[in-house]
Amino acid sequence: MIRAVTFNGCFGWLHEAEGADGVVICPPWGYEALCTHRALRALAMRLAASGHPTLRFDPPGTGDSLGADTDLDRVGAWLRGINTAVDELHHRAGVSRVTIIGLRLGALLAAQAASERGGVERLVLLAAPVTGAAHVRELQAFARLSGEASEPAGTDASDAQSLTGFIMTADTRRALSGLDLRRLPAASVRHLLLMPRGEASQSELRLASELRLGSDITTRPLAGYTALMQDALTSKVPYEDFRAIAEWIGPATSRPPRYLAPQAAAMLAGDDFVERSITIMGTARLSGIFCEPSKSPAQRLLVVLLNTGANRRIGYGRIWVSFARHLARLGYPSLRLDIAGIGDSEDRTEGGCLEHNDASPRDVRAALDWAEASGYPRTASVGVCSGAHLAFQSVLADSRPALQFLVNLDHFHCQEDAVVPAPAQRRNVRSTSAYLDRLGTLSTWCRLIKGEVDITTVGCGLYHRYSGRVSARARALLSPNSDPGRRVRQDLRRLAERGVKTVIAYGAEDPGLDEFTRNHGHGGRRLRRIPRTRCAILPEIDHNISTETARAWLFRLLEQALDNTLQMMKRAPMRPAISLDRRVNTHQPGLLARNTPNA
Amino acid sequence: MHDDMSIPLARLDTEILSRIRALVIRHGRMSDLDRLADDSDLYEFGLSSLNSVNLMLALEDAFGVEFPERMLRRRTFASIRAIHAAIIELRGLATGNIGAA
Repeated sequence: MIRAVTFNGCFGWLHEAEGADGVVICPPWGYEALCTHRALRALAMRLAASGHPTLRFDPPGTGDSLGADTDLDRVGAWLRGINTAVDELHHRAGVSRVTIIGLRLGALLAAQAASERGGVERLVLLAAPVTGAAHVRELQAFARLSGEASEPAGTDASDAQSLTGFIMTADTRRALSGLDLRRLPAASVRHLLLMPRGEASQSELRLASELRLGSDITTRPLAGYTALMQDALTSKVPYEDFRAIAEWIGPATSRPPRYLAPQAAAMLAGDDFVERSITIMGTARLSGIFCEPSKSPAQRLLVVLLNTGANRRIGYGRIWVSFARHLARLGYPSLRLDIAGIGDSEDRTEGGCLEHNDASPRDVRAALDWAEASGYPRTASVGVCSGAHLAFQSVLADSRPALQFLVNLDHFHCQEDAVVPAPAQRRNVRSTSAYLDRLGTLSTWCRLIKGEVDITTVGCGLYHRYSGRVSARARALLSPNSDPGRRVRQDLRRLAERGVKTVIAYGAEDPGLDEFTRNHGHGGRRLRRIPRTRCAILPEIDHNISTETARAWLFRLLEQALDNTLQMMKRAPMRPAISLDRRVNTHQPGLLARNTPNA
Repeated sequence: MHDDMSIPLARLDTEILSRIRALVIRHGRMSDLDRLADDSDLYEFGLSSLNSVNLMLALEDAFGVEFPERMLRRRTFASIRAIHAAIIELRGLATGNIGAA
C-alpha cells in the first residue's frame, strides 16, 4: 500500500510494509530530482517489498511541498525536513530504527542531518558530492553545457541563478559551500553504505578513506549511475544497485509496526490555496494534486496541467506548481496530473512509450470525469511540447474543455514521417528564423569568424529538420487531403464551432515553430480566420520555459486566455458534457474518492 | 595522477588525444563509436549535456586541471580535438608554458 502523506508543509509517500526497520529516502535537488523521481519510487517499492516501511518526500520548497527555492534558509529547511521525515516515519509507522538513503545533494544533506541528529542506525550515500561547493559547480556546469546558462533568474532574490530551470539563490549557494562530508564528526552513524559514482570523480572514490562518519563503512560503486542520471524520458532504474542496497539493509525484523490511521486527507494549505492529493482511475491508477483557492470562491473552470515528456507533474523548473498556486490566487482551481507511467502514477499494463502515446488521452479523459464529478464540468487543458500534443488530442476527443492552451507544440498529430527530435536536440537547435535573424547582426559574424559558433550541430540539426519533411511536403502538394496543416485547420474549426477557445504559443526560437510556420504560415496567419483561435509568438520564452521571465510572460498569456474563456462561457450556453469519441470511453468510471491511497 | 606534468607538452599530443578518446568513449555513452574521428561532433554522436558534465569531471581528474567558467560551454566538448585544445591550453596555463604545444 502506498499512501500520500503530508507533514510540516512537506508532501510525501509512505510505502507501507510490515517490518520494524524503516527507510527515509532523500532526493537530489532541481533537475537531478526531476530525472530520478521515478527511480526513487522504484527503490521505495523495492524496499517495501522487502518488508521495510519507506517514506520518500519532497523537501521544503521542492516538488509538491510548500515553499519555493527562493525562500530564505533553504539548507536549514532541507536539514530540518529530513529530521521531520525520520520523526514522521517513527510516529506514523511505529518503526524502531530508521535507515536514511540520500541521492546526490540528498546524500550530502542526509549525512549532515544524520550526524547532527545522532543515533541513526544506517546511512546510504548514493553518488554523494564530497562538498556542497563541488556540487554547485557541477550544477552550474550542467546548466551552461545544456545551453540554459546559469543566467540571473529574474527574481527579486539577489544573485539567484537559474540552474537548468530551477532557481538557486546566492544564500543557498553560500550555505551549501559550508557542507563537507569529510568534516562530519566520527562515527555519527553506526553503519554506512557508500556508493560513489564509479566512473566520474576521483574525489568521490577517495572519499571512503577520508570519511569518519560511520562506525563501519561498506563501499560499492553505483554502477547504474550514468544510465540513471538522464532525462526523465530515458533514465533507467538501476535495479542491480537497488537490490544491493536492500541486501545491505537486510531482512525485515518480524515485529509488526503499529501504523497510525491514515490521514483523512493528504493536504497542504498555503496562504491562498489548499492542495489535496487525489487518485483517479485512468488507464492505470493515476496520481494528481488538486489545488483550490482558499480565499475566494473558485471559478467554474478547472485548469488541467499536463506532463511534458516524462517529467513528473511539477513540470520543468517546477513550473506547474508555481502556476497552480498563482492560479489559485486568481480564483482558478487546477489539477496537475501524472499520466500513466510518469511521476507517481502506476505503469500502464500494456506498457508503451510515455510521450505521444495514443492511450494517454484516456488518462486525461478520466481526469475530466473526476473534475466533472467534483463540480467542475468545464476545464482548460494546458501543456508544453508533448504535453501540448496531449492537450490537443484529448480536447479533440472530449467536449468538456472550454480552452486549450498549447505551448511550444512539437506537432498536432503524430505522423509516420514526423520528425520528433530527441530532448537534447530540441533544446539545442533553434528555429530557422532565429538563425536567419542572427545573420543580420555584427556580433554573429564576429562569433563565426572566431569559430565560436557550433556550425556542425546547427547544420546537422537543420538538415535533420528538413530532410524528413521534403517527402511530406511533396505528398501534400500532390494530395491536399494529406496536408497536415489542412487537417489541423479542420480540427480547429470544428473545435471553435463547439465553443472551444484555442491559444497556440511559441517561443520565437522554438524548434517546433518551423513546422508550425510551414503548415500555417508566419505567425499562424492561415489560422486567423478560424474563430476563437489565437497564435502568439513570444520572444521571451524558451522551449522549456526555463527562466522566471519566460514563466511570467506565459502566465500572463494564460491568465488572459482563462479570463476570455470565462467571458465566452458566460455568453454561450454550456454544451452537455459527453464523450465525442466513444472509442476512448472504454475504461472504468473515472472517479475514485479523493485521497484514496495508491495501492 | 599528475605524473606526466613534467613531460614536454608537445610530445604529449598523441598521448593526450588517445587518453581523451578513451575518456570520451567511457563517459560519453555514445553510439556508432567505430566512426568516431578526432574531429567528429560528439553531440551528433549522442553526447548529452549530463554526460558531458561527467566527461568534464573525468577529464579534470585525469589531467589535473579545472575548466574555468569561460570554458564551460558546449563547443569546448564538441570534439576530441576541441577537448585536446582546451586541455593543452589549461596545462599550458598551469605550467606557465602557453603556446608550447
